This record gives sequence, C-alpha cells and structure tokens, in this order.
Amino acid sequence: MISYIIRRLIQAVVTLFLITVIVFLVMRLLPGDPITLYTTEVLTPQQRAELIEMYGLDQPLLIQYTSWISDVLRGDLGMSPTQGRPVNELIARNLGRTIHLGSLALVLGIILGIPAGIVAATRRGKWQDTAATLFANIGICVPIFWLGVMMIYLFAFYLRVLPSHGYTSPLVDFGLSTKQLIMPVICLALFPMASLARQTRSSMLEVLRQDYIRTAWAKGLSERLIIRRHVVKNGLIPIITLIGLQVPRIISGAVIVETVFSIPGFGRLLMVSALSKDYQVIQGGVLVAATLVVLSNLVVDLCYGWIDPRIQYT
Amino acid sequence: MIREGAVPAGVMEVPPPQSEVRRIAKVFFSRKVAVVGLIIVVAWVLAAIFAPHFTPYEPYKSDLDNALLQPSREHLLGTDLIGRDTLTRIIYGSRIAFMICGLAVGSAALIGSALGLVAAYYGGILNMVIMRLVDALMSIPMIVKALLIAALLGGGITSIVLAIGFVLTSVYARLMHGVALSVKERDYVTAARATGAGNLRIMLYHILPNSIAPLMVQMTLQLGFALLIEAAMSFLGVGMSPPAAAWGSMISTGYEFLISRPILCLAPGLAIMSLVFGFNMIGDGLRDALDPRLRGTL
Repeated sequence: MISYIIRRLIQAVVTLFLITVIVFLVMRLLPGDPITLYTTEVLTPQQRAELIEMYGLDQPLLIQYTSWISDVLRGDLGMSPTQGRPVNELIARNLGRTIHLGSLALVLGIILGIPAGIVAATRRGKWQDTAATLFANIGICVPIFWLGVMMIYLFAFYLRVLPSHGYTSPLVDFGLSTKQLIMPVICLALFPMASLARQTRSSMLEVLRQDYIRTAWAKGLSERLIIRRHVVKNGLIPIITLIGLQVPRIISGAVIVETVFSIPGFGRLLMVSALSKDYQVIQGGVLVAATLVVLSNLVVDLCYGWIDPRIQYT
Repeated sequence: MIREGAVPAGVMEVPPPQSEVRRIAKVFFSRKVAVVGLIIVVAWVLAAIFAPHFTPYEPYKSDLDNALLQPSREHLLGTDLIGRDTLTRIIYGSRIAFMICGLAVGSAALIGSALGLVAAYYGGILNMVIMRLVDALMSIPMIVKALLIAALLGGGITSIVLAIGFVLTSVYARLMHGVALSVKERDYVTAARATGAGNLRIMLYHILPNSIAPLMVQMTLQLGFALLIEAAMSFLGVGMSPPAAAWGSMISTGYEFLISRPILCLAPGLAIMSLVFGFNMIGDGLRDALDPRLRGTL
C-alpha cells in the first residue's frame, strides 16, 4: 500500500512537472510579444529592451524555464501587471469562494444524481426511469451560462425571490449568502448531477445482470436488501472515479457561473485576466487549477482501493 | 439426404447472415431517441445549407426602425437591438456552429488519434512521453485550457477552432491509444507484419480501420461538447464576437435586454440545447450499435 501511494505521488509530481513545461512553452512560443507577460503598457523600444533584459527573455528557453520554475516552487507566481498585486495573493483570496461554491455544487450533484441513477436502474422501463433518463439526457445538453441567465430572469427579475448576483461569506450573513448561492450552485451542479445519474444507471444495470444478483433473487432475498447490499455497493465503485472527474468540470463551470453571477472567485479571476490579457494570472491560475485536478485524481485513486478490496495495489 | 429448406431435428436454425452495416443501422434505428437526435441534426444541417430559403431577412443587415420588436408574424422571434431578425440569425448561426464544431472536432480527432496510434504502436519511451504529456494536458480543466489559448490568440474563428481543437486532442489521443494497444496484438496485424508490411502501412491499413468505431462514437459525442464550449466562450467574450451570428454571443448581447426581451436569450439557448441533444443522442445510438455490450444501457 505504501509503495503504491509513493508511486502515485511520483506520478502526480511528474504530471505536475509536465504541466509546468506545457504552460511555460505555450505562454512563450505562441505568436505575440513575450514581454506582454509582464506588462500591458505600450513601451518604447528602449523600455522594451530594458524589460527583456530584466526578465531574462533574451536567455535560452531552458534558462528561462529554470528561473521561472524555481520562483513557482517558492510560491512566487509573479506580479499581475493589470492588478499590481502578487498572483498568489490574488488566487488565494479568490480560491476560497470557488471552493465554497464548487463543493456545494459537487455535493448537490452527488446527492441528487446518484439516487436518480439508482432509481432509474431499479425501476427500468417505468416512469421513474423515463423521467430520470430524460432529465439526465437534457441536463448534459444545457449550456450552463444560458441556464444561469434564464434563472436570473425567472427568479431575480420576474419572481423577485433571489438576488441576481454577488457573493457574501456565510460567516458574515448566512441568510444572504445562501440566497445568493442557490442559483449558481444549481447551475454548477447540473452537469455533474446529469452525468452521475447517467453513469450510475449504466453501472447499476451492469451489476443487475450479474450472476450473484440472480443468486440473491433465487435464495429469496427481498428486493430492498438485494439493491442495498449487492447492487448499490458494487455499482457505486466506478462512480467514485466519476466523482473525481467532476473536479475539473466544476472548475471549468466555475469560470462560467462566477462570470454570470458576478461572484469574485477563482473562475472569474481567470476570466477577467483572459479578457485583460493578464498572462501572469492566467499562467498561475492554470497551474493552480491543474494542481487541484491532479490532487483530486490522487485522492480518488487512493479511495478506490479502500472501497474495493479486490483492487490490488500493483 | 436433407431436403432444401428443411431443418434437421436437433439443429438450431441459423439466421441468415447480415451485413455489419445493416446490423448497425438496425440497432441504431431501433433506438427512438437516436432517431430523434438524427432528425434534429438533419433539420439543423438543412437549415444551415438552405438558410436563405428559410428566411427573407439578412442576418447582418441592421434595420433601426424595427429594433427590439416583440415576436410577431413578420418576426417570429422578434428583432434585436439593431433590428436584425432573431430567427434569421439563429438559422445562420447554425452555419457557424457546424463549421467551428466540425473543424475543431475533426482536427482534434486527426491529431489526437495520430498521437495515440503512434504511441501505442511504437511503445517504449515514445509512448511514455506522449501519454504522460496527454495525462498532463487532461489535468488542465477544459474551459481553462480553452481560455488560455483563446486569450493568447485573440478572438475569431481560427482562434476558437484551435482552442477547442487543442482542448479535445488529448481525449482522442487517450482513446486511440487504448484501442490501438489491443488491436495491434491481433493476428491479422501479426500476419501483415509477416508479409513484410511497413509500420506506416500496418498503422494506416490494419490498426486504424479496426479502431474507427469508438473514434466515431466519440467524435459524435464531442460535437455537442465542442458546441457547448464554443457557445460558452462566445458568451464570455473570448470566442466569436459580435456581429457574428454565433449563438453564444447572441445570448451575450441579448442579456442586456433580459428584462424586456427575454426571447433574445431564450431562443439561441434552445437552439444550442437542441443541437447538442441531437449530437448526443446520435452518439449514444451509435455507441449502442457499434458496441453490443453496451446495448440497453444509457
């Protein structure tokens, strides 16, 4: 087990190293002036030359990468030229809000999506199955930014029951915070909910076809017991991986949802930086987002063995 | 002697052989949702091709006298801020949707499957380098990756096609890698090698054609996904920008008039949803038809 954890940690470190290489090369090798990484101002040729020398942009790429990665490893993601503040400070300030929003959406997606899939599989061909399948199939087709806009129209402008935008910490005003988060959380949870429902149904149907389920029926166990003890327990194993896969989706969704609902989170920071061409923040943001995904994959892989003892750590 | 047409006792009647294409078509068309998906996509394809025949209006021509009209018999979905017919722009918008999604998914499938195929076929260090890079790319959330590329390249069709193509390439590389790893061990590949076929020939004529089924399913499903990414990026302002009749940017501009003219946001959103639904249902139907193990599941 320990050697497996160490091996997975090494794999995670290698993946993170490659991500830094990709991000570095993409930022330096794509068309455009690399100096735009450090400033958004219009420069005279002399100022430009001075900055290029100052930031070492005239050095070979390998030297540039070594210098950049040593800063990154010390936690220095550079200065935002548009906001005039350290990138890690900007990200740290905004990431908490995204984690708050994202974790609520993930929990909602899990507690609604998985039971919907179980009900659909165990009531196959009945109205519950049709309803859950229809919901799941439509849920993965809805553009979440559009859903957000339509919810704002319905609940904020037409019915006037929810605020249209903003974020308040639950520690400051729990009631307002909850009201402000209802629409963003539903929007962000929709895709995980629908995909979890689809996958859970497929996985449960697969288990229902197994011989041990037939044996359980044959020995006269109740339907409730068969579903709880045999179907759900075995069918949920692949779902754990899918829950892990929701993390990048939640981060992607946060970029959209936070922009629609004006939530000053990590996603909106990335969006604003992309529009203002603040490459330092984008670069740091991509690294942080990828690190979160790599860590979530690591946790899922480790959980997998804990949940399913048949899986060998080889 | 057995008479022609008679089945001897104890021998099961064998159904007449069926061509593979026929079997796939039969399974596909037995799935009602797949047929509905196909009808939706065909309808949008026809709308895109024959757009000028469906509407008397121009998608980009402003008519300030008729700005922000409510839906009426002349303008079924009303008009926008500068008097352009919303339905016309949605119909013409399908051209942009098909073009961007087709180019992005096509290029991603081409480059991604080439990478996956080469990695699986040659193995060793090449395989390790390519697949670890693919793993690294897949760890970056898709919209974040697309934002990165779009921000570096600016807006416009080329930039958005490259951004979405870049986002999806790793998916095809991983898929093709998995399929090719199993196909390359088959007897017919060994036989081809024994007859002196070169590596390129084996990859292109023996492994690729036998790996195409899951690739096709993935491409159909990814068309819908590409459309969702394109629409989101256009809405956020890093994709297609006005006056292009892209559905995402139509919602973005309609957002300013959400209270008085919600139809300007509602209609393009329903268009996106319907086309994504169509692609997904065709993809699901194809998957069921091409992979009998999955038949009966979602």
